[in-house]
Amino acid sequence: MKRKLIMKKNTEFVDEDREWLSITPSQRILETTKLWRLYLSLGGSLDPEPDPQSPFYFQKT
Amino acid sequence: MTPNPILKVLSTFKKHRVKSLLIGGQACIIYGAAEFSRDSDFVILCDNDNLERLKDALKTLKAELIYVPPLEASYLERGHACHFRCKAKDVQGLRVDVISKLRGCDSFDKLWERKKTVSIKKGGAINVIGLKDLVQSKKTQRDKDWLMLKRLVENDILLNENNPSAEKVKWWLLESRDPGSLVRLGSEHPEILKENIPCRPLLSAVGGQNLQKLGPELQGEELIERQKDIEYWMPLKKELEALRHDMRV
Repeated sequence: MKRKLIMKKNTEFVDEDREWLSITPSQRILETTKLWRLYLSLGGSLDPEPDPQSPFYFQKT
Repeated sequence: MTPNPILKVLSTFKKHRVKSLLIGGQACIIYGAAEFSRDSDFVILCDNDNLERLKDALKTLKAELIYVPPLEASYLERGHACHFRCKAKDVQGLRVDVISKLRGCDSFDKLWERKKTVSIKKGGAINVIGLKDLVQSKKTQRDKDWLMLKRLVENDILLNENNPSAEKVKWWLLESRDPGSLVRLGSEHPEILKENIPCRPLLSAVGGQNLQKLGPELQGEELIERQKDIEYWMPLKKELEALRHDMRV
């Protein structure tokens, strides 16, 4: 039982997740900065995605 | 535009000495969530001096209020959030949301005591809500918050699974939403499991490794919290609707 669960635990995180978790919080911020650079260079919008489950959603309608 | 508008907002808040903690999606990234959040959310100290400093910072960011209510202590103290959109060059279009109370969480002073400070190159230090408080703040009516909550706890288990403190194990047992993790933790730490059954009754199913029972019980826990969140926001939403109505008249 335990062995099976440990295997399950290991498979719940893909390699990219583990890599992301293995870096420090400050490195994550720097990596996110690279994503921002790419996102904005491609003309990405800064509008948050509509979220009908948010308590504030009705205000946007 | 600077590469990361969130850092610009953070540095502006710091420059104006706004006492605040980063919450929401940006905080989740710092704790290892793999997501790309396009807005910035803060919990702030709601006192007159801090609100004045916040107003100055928002002025620097050319942030305009986009919805009701106005940025006033009386609204923040009742639990409302205030929403802004920045117009300054480096942050044009970025949403900044501020709140001073998080449902189910302690007061700002307590959150501040438990904050995490992250140092970044050339950016100084960022004050982020503590992980336990972030997880608590995610117990909302939104599906995505529950997915995030589960991931935040599982991340913490993965990062600290080698020789965790008893306090850590207790927190995982009280907050994990993954049946497999709960059963594994319960079998590895039976005493801590037993001690905490009164705090979280579904842990009795963990002891018996009753996965069939555990799923519905986890769902039940979630439904109760979602309902509490809906009820918390109901009078606040009514107040906002009245404010919007008054603005139209």
